[in-house]
Amino acid sequence: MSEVTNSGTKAESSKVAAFVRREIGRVTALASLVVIFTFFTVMRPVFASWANVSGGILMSTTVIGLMAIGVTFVIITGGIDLSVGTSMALVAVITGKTVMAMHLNVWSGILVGVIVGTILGSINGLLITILKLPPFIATLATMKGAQGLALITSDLKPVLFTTDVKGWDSIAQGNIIPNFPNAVLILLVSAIVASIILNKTVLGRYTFAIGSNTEATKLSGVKVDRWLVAVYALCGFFVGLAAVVMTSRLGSAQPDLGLGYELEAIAAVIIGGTSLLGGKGTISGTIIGALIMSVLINGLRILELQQEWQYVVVGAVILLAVYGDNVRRRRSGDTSH
Amino acid sequence: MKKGLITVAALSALALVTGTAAPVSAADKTLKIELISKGETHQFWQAVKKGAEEQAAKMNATIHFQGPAAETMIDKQLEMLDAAIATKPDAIGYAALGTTESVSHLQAANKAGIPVYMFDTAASCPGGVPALGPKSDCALGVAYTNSLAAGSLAADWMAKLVGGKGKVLVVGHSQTNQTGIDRAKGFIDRIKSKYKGIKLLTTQYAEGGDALKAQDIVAAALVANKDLKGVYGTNEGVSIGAGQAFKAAKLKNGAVKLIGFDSGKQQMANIKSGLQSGAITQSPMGIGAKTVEALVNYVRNKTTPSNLIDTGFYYYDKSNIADPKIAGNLYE
Amino acid sequence: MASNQLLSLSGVSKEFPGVKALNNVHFDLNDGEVHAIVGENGAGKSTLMKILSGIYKKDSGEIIYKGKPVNIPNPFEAQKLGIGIIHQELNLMPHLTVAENIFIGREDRFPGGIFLNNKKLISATVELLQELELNLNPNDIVGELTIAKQQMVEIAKAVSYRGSVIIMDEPTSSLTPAETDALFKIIRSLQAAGKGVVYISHRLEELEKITDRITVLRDGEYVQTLKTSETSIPEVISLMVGRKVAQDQRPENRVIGNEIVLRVEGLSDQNLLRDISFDLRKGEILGFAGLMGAGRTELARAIMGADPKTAGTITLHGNEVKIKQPSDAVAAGIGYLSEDRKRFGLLLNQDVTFNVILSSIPRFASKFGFLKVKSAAGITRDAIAQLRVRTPSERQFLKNLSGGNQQKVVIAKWLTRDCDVLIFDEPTRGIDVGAKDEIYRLLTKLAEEGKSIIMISSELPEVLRLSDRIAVMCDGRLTGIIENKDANQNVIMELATKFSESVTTAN
Repeated sequence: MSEVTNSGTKAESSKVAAFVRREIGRVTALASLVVIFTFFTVMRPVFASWANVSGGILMSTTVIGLMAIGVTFVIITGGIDLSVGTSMALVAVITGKTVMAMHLNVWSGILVGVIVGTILGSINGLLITILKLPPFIATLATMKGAQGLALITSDLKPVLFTTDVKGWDSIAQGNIIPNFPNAVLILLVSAIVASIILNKTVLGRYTFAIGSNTEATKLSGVKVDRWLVAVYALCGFFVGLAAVVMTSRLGSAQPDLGLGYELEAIAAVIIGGTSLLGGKGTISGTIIGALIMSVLINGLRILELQQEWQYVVVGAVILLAVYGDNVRRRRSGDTSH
Repeated sequence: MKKGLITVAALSALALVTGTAAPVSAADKTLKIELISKGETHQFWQAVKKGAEEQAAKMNATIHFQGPAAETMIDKQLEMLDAAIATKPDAIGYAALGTTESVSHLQAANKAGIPVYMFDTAASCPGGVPALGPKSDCALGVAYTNSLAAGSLAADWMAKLVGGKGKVLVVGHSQTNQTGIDRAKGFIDRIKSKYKGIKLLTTQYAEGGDALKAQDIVAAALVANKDLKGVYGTNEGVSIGAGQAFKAAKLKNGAVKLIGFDSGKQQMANIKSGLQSGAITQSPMGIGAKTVEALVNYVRNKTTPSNLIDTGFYYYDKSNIADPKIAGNLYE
Repeated sequence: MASNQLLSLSGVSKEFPGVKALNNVHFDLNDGEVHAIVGENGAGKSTLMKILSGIYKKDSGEIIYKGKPVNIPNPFEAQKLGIGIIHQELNLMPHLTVAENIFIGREDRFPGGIFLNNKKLISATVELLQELELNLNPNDIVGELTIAKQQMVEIAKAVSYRGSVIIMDEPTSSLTPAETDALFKIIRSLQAAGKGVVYISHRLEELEKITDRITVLRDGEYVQTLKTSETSIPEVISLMVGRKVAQDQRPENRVIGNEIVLRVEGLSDQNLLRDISFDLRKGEILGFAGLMGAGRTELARAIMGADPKTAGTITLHGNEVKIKQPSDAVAAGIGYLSEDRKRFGLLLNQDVTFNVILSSIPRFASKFGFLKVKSAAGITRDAIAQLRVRTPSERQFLKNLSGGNQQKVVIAKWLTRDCDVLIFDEPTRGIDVGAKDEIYRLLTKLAEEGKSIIMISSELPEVLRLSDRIAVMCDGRLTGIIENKDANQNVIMELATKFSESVTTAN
């Protein structure tokens, strides 16, 4: 309680300490990423080849990464979105059906995907704000609903794109930049845009404010409900984008693919240092978190570790990452959580 | 089971003796059959359903077909099974997801006097498949594709395609369901025993047949093994994912051989285009039809079905994909 | 100061189901005035504030603001009218910066309204902070500031609305004397700018320093409005409780034996505590005084094993005990009554019985793990009678009891556990004047029955009234232990501010 300062240099050093305290979440996450990456590179140098980094690691980060960006916003408000996985499947199916039925080109198809995603996200937001449902329950309900609707609208069959829509597979697998898959470019641009939204716009400011203290934000005259809907809609936008990338990677919309992805997305967000209690988090942290997961899984596959042990290692790393974050936080005396 | 039969016989005898106005005997009543499958999503199950429905229509029976949303939901499926038993249908067809977990539930059906014939995958009933029959307290028998043999056929074709040597990767779709296990095991055992020149990489799994995960697995394997010669995928989702990984890596068609399982629009297109070498197909409609046939004959005509009905499987590729014998079992 | 009437409430009433919270209350405020509202808990102060700030709607009565009758249906309307409130529970967003907190909902934006103009936000904040002479960095994260500084952020936020009325609800409850002085400086500058301040406080000695008038409420009724210059604290207290309360009492001279129950030697922790040693005798009340942040609560937590010790030993009845976690301390017979009852002491959503037996559940469990409900209820009824807890029955939920009675339930919990040593941390915080007396009597009675008590308190009259000896801490060290007869407020304050030379506190 009594901050003890003595001289200018001490104030300076406490400033540095404060910076480190604030940023160390991402710094430690990044350090873990480097350590894991180095480990696999030493074990199998081919791991660090560009072919593996771009086509293996980065590519496999794209779908979960895009979802995780959306989920980051939601979690910073203190909420949760369990529906992102099955919503992705539903968006994929609806987009596929629409594109096929209306003979849309690639750009219109992408637009359909993000619009449908945004609508699904808004529905979550409305359930939470108008019906006052807890986010866990509201999104659990839409998760189930989306799962069912994806099966129904698809008629239980995958919706095939490639043969009918020219260029749909280049959304993810093409190269606007040589040797750099478009899907990775989409993830990168999305992360930058999301980071700007989070840190430079009114929406971002209120995202943090709501997660930090909803009641105080409300009492300060902010229309909290309206902004919450916007946050869930934004999350849906990124889910829509994830669906587009997923269908492009597969050449088809798989109606039963997506269940369980929500937990991977949430794990990426938490490993990246975003607090499940809301109020703090970063997009770059989330991307690092998603990369830790995909680097780990890709590396274990390349080492040909048996699948059973892959699960165990991934579980252990999630524990370590989050535990390490807790310990560090307690050491630095951050009692806000 | 015997007791149930006696009751039915006694009841019909009673009906004859008393000569009541509405003699509803098993002979002309429309039989109600519950089919609990492993899934509904995959077109494979849709084909099973179609075969069952067609057979039921021929034999004056109705079927109610259901399955959980994903093939990992063992509990969900058992709930469905219990609910089906509670409705007291004339017979139940069951495809086992949890092969050991389901045994006690099947015994409950038996106690309730409802005959069960299994399809696609057998539960681990006491005594195994040989003990199945009217005397079993578990099920009458099983109509299924011999997945071990099917996997072994895939291995023969893979060996032929890669010339008997080189690295081959198996990508499974499940480590828990028996079909998934057998399709991989049949392949692996055959390669190990007969094709010593082929080196198998550690088997990887895209759990639940997740095409995206399969794509990532194959992409990683292609990077780590420049000399990879072949990939074997144990279901449709895995085959699609593997094909997409080939595409993303810009492989020349046929540079790495891909043998898949089942059919579906995308996989068939890949086979036609040469991206994928071929696939094993079961006869899903046959599974459905033979299950219904066995149950109806047993309930209505007291014919004891064989405890093991092999419904068959085929290897198909570009050359015979349109062959009527094959095409009838393929689905889009 | 020429005074125009800024705000006037007349005949305001508010009823909640079963409770008449306010009955025909009057209050008025002039510009440039600090007007205190005092009363015991439940007197209606908070209700009145909430009506003024638009959180509650009044049932009847009239509010005249700047000469016109007004309606205040919601907080936004209050803000628009120019009535700002600083809540008792700070209403800040701990993860946001000072500047972001002050201007939340009113951020400067670039044309287009989407992007934030952070430069303008910072410059507006700097201007405001300079105007109020507040020593805050606009970029500091609020959650990392001391409570006092957070309070300043709240004040800056309230002022930033440029309103005419600022309501402060218990603003000094967590401030040190130095911080309180800084707050008073701000209040005076607001006063000089012609703003009216409504000031609510339990700390009556502050009223003399800062207020112009004092309005007393009791049981939802208006009692009287007094000019501060023409009244005294005893008069205010007697109006509040409806009877005279003696000030500056000392304990009756009790004879305390030489049996040492608890001995702490050389105790240190990682951050604050340095080499603390003291004895606690049987039947003794040892008061711990010191400024906020001196380390008294930290000491209690270290003894209890709630925070790690880096050095030192604890001896109970002559045997050294290893206390690594609170359960060790409880097993050794040491009970701790936290200053924050609601967070650390009580299960508010459970009934009295549950709370009383919470620390001794194994005693009330049958060998199959079932709770012996009857014996638990019996013990609880005994405790209710013994401690005179005012509750309809042992089945009442804790949240429905007053602060004083909740405190008694915590005490009952530790008595049921048969603790010899009880550590009370701020035993009367948030408890009104009448109930305080009862707690005091209870503590004395416990000591007379042979319990040994450590009592941490920030209220010096309380320490002087109850303690046989007084230990004073400053900056993590024990700066002295004095007999009650040798102690007075001046002596204690001197010991409490004995900082070592090289270090100074920044508020």
